[in-house]
Amino acid sequence: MNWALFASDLKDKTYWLPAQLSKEAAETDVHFYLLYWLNVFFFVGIFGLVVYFCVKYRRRTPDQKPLPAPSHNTVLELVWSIIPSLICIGLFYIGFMVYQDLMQPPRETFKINVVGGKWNWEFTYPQTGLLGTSDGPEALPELHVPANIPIELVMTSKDVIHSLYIPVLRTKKDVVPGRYSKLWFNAQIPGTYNIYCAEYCGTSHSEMTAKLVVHENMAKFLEWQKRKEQEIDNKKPVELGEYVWKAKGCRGCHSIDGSTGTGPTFKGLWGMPAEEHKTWKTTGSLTPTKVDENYIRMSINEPNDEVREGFARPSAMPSYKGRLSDKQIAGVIEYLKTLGRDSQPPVKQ
Amino acid sequence: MSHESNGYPPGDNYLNRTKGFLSWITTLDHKRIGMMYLGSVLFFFLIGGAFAIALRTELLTPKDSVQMPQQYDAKGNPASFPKKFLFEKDTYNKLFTLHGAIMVFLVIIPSIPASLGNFVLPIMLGAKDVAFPRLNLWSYYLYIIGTVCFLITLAVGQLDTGWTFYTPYSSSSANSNTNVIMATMGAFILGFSSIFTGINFLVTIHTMRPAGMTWFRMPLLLWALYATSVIQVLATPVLGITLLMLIVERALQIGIFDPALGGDPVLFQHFFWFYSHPAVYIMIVPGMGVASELISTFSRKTIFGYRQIALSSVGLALIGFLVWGHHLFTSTQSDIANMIFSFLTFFVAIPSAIKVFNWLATLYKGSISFETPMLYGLSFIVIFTIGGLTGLFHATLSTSIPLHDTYFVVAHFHYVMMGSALIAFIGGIFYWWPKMTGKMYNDLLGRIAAVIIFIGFNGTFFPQFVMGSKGMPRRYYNYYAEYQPYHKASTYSSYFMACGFVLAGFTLVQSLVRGRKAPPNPWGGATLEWQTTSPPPTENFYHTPVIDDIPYNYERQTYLGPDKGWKDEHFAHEWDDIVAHQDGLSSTPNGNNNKH
Ligand code: HEM
Ligand SMILES: [Cu+2]
Repeated sequence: MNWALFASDLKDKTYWLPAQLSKEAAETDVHFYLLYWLNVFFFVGIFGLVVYFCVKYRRRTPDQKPLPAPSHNTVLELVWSIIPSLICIGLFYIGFMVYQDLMQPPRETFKINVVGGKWNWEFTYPQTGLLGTSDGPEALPELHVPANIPIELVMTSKDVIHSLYIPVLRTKKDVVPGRYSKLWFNAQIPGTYNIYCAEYCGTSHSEMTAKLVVHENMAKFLEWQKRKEQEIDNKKPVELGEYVWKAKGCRGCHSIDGSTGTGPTFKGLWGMPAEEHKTWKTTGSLTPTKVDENYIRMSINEPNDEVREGFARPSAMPSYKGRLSDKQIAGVIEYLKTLGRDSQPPVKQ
Repeated sequence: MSHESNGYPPGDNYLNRTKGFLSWITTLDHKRIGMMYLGSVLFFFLIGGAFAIALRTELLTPKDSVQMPQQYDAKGNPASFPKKFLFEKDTYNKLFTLHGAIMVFLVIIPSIPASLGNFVLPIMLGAKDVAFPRLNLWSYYLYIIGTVCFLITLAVGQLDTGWTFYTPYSSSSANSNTNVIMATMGAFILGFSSIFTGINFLVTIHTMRPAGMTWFRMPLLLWALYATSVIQVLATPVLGITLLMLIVERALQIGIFDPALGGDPVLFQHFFWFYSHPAVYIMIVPGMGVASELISTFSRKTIFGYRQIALSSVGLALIGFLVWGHHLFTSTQSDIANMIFSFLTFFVAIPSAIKVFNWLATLYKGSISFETPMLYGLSFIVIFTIGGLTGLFHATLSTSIPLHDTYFVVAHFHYVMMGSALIAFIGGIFYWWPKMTGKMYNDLLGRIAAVIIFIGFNGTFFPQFVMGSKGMPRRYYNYYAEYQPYHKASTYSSYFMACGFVLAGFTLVQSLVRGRKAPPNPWGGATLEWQTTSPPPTENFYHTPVIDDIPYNYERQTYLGPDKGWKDEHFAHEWDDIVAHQDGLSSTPNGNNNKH
């Protein structure tokens, strides 16, 4: 059976279920309707018999006796124990098979990182280097994906347990602090759909929604990404710098709160007196170095030219040469200034 | 032995033997303790119900209907929460926590076992009281202490975690640890109350059955209460262990549930459901027991497949311990665990299905009458069928993933807990009301109320299945407008249902004031509680009953008319005694016999 076709046939919502975006969703729906008709069958049967018996055998005179009937019947009792058991085993089997499809991603997937936090979702695209648009509470969080490419979400939470729920894909998975959970899907129909948080997480739980935006193909997706990056490039330099720090992987190693990570913290870095800031030159000497625009630019493009005292040599940091535009580097410098010795930490808005 | 040998004047009963507030709160009489439970449970049902109506009213309006200017403080958190309709988000969250916690821990769990069970269990056994009357009173006190503890924490501590208290939400920020510990403590004290009741019932059933009542001659309610007691005694300690771990984690900073300390937040869910899943059977199994009594009595037929029903209660109790993981299908629990739990879950469906078929077969060729209790009995079959069948959607892994934590689940558990367990409870109240109070209520009013509740219930919760399958998540204060029609249908129906409950309550209160006197056996029930006066004397019986038959033998009964009810040949020699006491007449000499 051509599932993609099937999916697009049923693209319009049925009475019970929302639109159907993937092969797995289509399979799940087959089960939903199987169970649904099974429910209808048993309900109508049981309800029908209740009504029929109640009418037929209603007591007409106060002392009417019941008609003779057996008080038990082993064959009948076996039948109605065994048939439901068989039905249940069958349901279990098909449910588990599709569940495996729903949970087992194909080998090659396009990975997107998801961080849930009270009360918004943050999506980053490590494979193409874009931070999602959920940055900052004012923006509507959006998860952008190309159609017909298996997507894998790698999810974790900053605070409490959340749960990422995409009704049109019939899938959901809890997002737990201190652990990565994974969810994969392959959306087949371009469009914009709802994402919910399904695990209660406090005050604004019901506003922890997002949109799933499915682009027609990878090219369209990259086009969107480019547009987005330009938009971001037009931000104020400080904002752009903060964005780069978040989106391009800097924050994985450089904190802004003074704690030491794989790399030195950004807090108080700008304007640090040279005596306190010694670096290893390629010549092998340890010398005091002033932190200024040139030093920063050099550290981004050629991290190995000078490595700060106390950190691994050669530097653990990859070179960003060509990966950041001049505008972005300038933004980072402005951002670092706000984190410097005498300046205030950046304030949103 | 004549009736005079109980030494009290005719007309004497457990209600009028002693008088005054003190005589009630110090009573050791299981009937009075049962009545006190009944009063408390109904009181909390009223409060929990009022919260439910408030929640439903708030849900009339979707997110988009009100402009919501969002403001954020420096940290990016919403600075103020504009009201959507009635109240703010935080208030909504606290209210559903209170509603859920009250309904589960204070209403449904103690409803049938502690109130009706306490009242009828010893009488059905032909006993004078439970095995440990003092422990029984102490259970009631614990219920009250636990309740106070619980409500204070919920209200003063402003808990907004939902009745499930999931960590790390429950142990972070808004909810201080002390609150969670206190609330769990409240639940644990309540748990102890039910452990004691459970032990009491187990011992009573084991040791105090009358001559001739073998296990398979016990009324089915007793089987149900027996199975329930086993679950209570075995499952509740887990709640205590969880509590202990919460305290240890806080006091010694050892990471158990808190990821910040290196603990595992999902572990809490395992512990929670290891207790709370069996607790679901604590709620429904007694309801099935009551339904069995109602359906048999009002069909005047012995219950079909008695042994199958009895054993399926026990089966449910046992399998109920093995399926807690089906609440954790999306929790990052391993696929293997999901597979096993899904498989086992299907096996709780089977005993449930068997019971429904047996009830149907009991109706077949019966002599069915439709007094108020029977309408609840029939409602039970119909609603429980839907509740049970929709459980299949949650047991099947593929469909369970999308439906988990949506309104589909909310609908499912209301069909089971409210539509089934609570409806059986209300049906039981109407069934034993004449026995408990000695008064008949206006049956017409009672029936109208039952029909309104049935229709209102389905109108309230059926639309929730539809919106749930369309994706509406639960515990949402705000929602997109596409779900509004279903919310509206649900809310308006809930008002209608509330009217039904008010009318039912009115019917009962009115009977106390204006009701005519109840005969000993108004419905033609065949179990022992109908073989004594309404209300019974403190000692329950004038003669120690002897059993020589299955519990549902209606053949030897004759109908004496609406005022006198039914008379059972087996107890013919005691009949005059019973009637004499009942009517407050002076003695009749032929009450004297030593045959039994
Ligand atoms: C008057 C009838 C009732 C109405 C209108 C009602 C309505 C509701 C509503 C609106 C919710 C919140 C759903 C959500 O957003 O998750 C809810 C939750 C719940 N209700 Fe009811 N309810 C009623 C009776 C009952 C009864 C009798 C029980 C007893 C078993 C019960 C047990 C629960 C539970 C356990 C929850 C989940 C609470 C939670 O999510 O923390 N309800 N109900
Ligand atoms: Cu959340």
